[in-house]
Amino acid sequence: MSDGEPLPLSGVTVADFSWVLAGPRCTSWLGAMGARVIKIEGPKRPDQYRSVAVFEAGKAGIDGSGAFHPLNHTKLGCAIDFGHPKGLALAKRIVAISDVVVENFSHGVMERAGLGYEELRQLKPDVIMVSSSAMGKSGPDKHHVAYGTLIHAFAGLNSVTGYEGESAGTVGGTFADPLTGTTMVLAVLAALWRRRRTGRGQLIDLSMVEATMMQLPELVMDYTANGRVAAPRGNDDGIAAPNDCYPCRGEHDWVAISVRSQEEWEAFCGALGRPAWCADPRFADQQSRFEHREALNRHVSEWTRTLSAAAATELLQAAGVAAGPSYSAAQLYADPHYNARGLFVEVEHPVVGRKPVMGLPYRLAPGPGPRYWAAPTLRQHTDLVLRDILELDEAEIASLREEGVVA
Amino acid sequence: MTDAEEPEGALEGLKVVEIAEGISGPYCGKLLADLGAEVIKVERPGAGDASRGFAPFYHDEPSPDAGLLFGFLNTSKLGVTLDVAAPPGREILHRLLAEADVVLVGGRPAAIERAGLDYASLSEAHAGLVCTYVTPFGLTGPHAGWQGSELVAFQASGLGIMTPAERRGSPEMRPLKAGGHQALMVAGLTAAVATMHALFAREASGDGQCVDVSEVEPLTSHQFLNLARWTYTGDPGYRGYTEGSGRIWCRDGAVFMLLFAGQEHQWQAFLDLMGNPEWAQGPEYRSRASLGEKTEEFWARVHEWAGGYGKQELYREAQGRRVPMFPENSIAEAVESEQVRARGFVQEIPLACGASVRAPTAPYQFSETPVRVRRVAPSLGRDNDAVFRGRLGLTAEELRRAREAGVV
Repeated sequence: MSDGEPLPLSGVTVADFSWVLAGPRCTSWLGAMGARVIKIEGPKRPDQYRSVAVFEAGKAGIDGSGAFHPLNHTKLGCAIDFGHPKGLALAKRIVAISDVVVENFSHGVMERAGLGYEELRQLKPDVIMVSSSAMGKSGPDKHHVAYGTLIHAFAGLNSVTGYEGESAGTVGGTFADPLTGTTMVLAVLAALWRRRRTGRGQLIDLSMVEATMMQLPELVMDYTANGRVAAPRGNDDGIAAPNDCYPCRGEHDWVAISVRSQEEWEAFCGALGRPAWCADPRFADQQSRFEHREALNRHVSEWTRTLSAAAATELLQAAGVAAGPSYSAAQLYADPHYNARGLFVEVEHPVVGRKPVMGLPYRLAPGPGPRYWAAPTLRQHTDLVLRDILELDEAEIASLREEGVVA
Repeated sequence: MTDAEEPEGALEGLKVVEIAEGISGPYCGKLLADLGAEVIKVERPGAGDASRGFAPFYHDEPSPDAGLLFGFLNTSKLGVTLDVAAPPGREILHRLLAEADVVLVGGRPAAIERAGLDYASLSEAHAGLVCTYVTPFGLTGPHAGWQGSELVAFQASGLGIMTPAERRGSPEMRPLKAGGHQALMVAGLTAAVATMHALFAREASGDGQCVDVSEVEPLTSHQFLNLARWTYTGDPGYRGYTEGSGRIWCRDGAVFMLLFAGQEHQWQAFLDLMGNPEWAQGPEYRSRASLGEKTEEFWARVHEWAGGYGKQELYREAQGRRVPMFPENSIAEAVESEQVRARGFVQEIPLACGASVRAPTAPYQFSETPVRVRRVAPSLGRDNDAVFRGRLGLTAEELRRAREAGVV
């Protein structure tokens, strides 16, 4: 919304029909890069993430959810019922002035609404449409519905996660959704790059299952080349030891340590003050250390229990050994390194006040940008979009509002 | 060097020089190369990229050209060898960079500086160059010098202490990482985004850019929801969240189901799937949100019911009623699933050892500019002649001297 120096995506308008997680993450990044993102929500069918129960005391409500805010920063938000013919007409007018359309409904929803790629390119011949769904837009099961944690199960990620000897485990928190969001950003930027050179838009079809399987190449190929079907193996990588999470002095206090070469093993032993067990012939070389990792890990745990994860990390990193705490959300928010690098960006929200969002997880210098502002409330920019961007007059807007087409 | 009859990629014309080893940097280079950028991968003479030694290998026979991960991470690239730290090698490198839009650099910051690849040195010599650094903890900040690993990065992201999520009541069990190299792969993907972002920044401002990507922050940025739980509600974010989903055990494995609290039609569809049993007629069963104390009983009933099904059978019946349920697949089941096969996501790619193997292709399909593997991952120094003589115009004599000096 600022009129300062041009940002990387200045001049790019994004019609954002996306909701929940992957799509909104994508468009918030595009907004931070300077694109004008117009998020379109149904007045009676707002983004489901507005209802996820992450509320400050007394702030529960459609505009209060802490799940919605970090995914929707740096956008304009308007409420248009595009299930209504007049709302659909408005949505099409937004598309006609947009460069990029982003959506992540289940397959077929946009087509049924009259907003499929073939319709959109009639409105804007060089439009770039990015469409993300659980299974993609082709194939016999394209209609299947799913959310992030189900994608982990389907893609095989669960089957390679967990304690050794178990059949599967679940990754904590969200993974496939934000991963898909980042993948969508790359697709948009590549397509925009192409369009600047050729003037042509295109449709990008993204499957969350495939975005997740893309992350498991060596496991897929070990199956296809060698017939080996991977199973959970804790934190082992099959090569290095010690390479695990070890208990420290406090509760929920763990340190991850990776010793991956003889040089690092020597440095590790030095950092511990060369206790007698370091000279155990079973631990003399990497292969033998890995074979005897159970015994080795017992010794390492005895040492880590005497320290906090922070202290063990400092000691080991000072010696050149890869180590770090297993962070909780609370700890990572307090981490001096992340804070020094500006990973968390504070924005001022009209309902919840000053709150952090995750900034783009990299630095760019000299820039310009990125820029950030707080997620819109449900109706915050409806008038701005209708009046200033679509150039409707006040009477038209009032009548649309009265009919319930916009809110 | 590209086949003129093949359709162009989205990034056709973009020139990238990659000086990065392992997983994160090369994955960034692969994504750009498969999208059509020309990526020249620069490896150390002699050993090359350390990931040439990473298992698994084709047919379990270790060789620098048979690593499956190396073969995946380096598709579509040209491969040269060059000792970039030695003065004659550095001179050749700078001739390459003079033609490049992007240089992609990996390693620890101190080593990058020693090799003369830091941004101050490169930007002085090449105004307008986008320099993307992918390093364990980034170029700045109090931990910039730290050593990293997949495990350390995964744990630094906040995901590890919550994994495996189902062990909610067992804080004494150690945190895990997910299978594979999730932190490093996400860092590589994010580096590709950051590089494109920087190219647009260069177009807007005319300035070259220093892009500083750590291997820890990209995955940490996935934890926005738990950051919000902490800052809004004071929940510190330990194990236990599966975001409203649950594993249901069938005869031959498990399915996962998510009944989103806001989607009541899905709740009703699930009750329909179970045949609207007698026990589910009480007022508590009107919605997922109203289950309350009945939650445990509900899941026990569900498991009892599901135990008679095979997981694929139950999954198909559930999706037929629009119930969000997926089977918990092994890697083999995922690869061989009808949908993944029908879309051609897993396809044969050649390896430098001469074999070919089915591998993931791309996480997106572009209608106009197909993403595809343009070249087999290089054997060490495969394109030295083509790049140094053909591209840079080195004479046979100059190249011979560089080889003798061990620079190439």
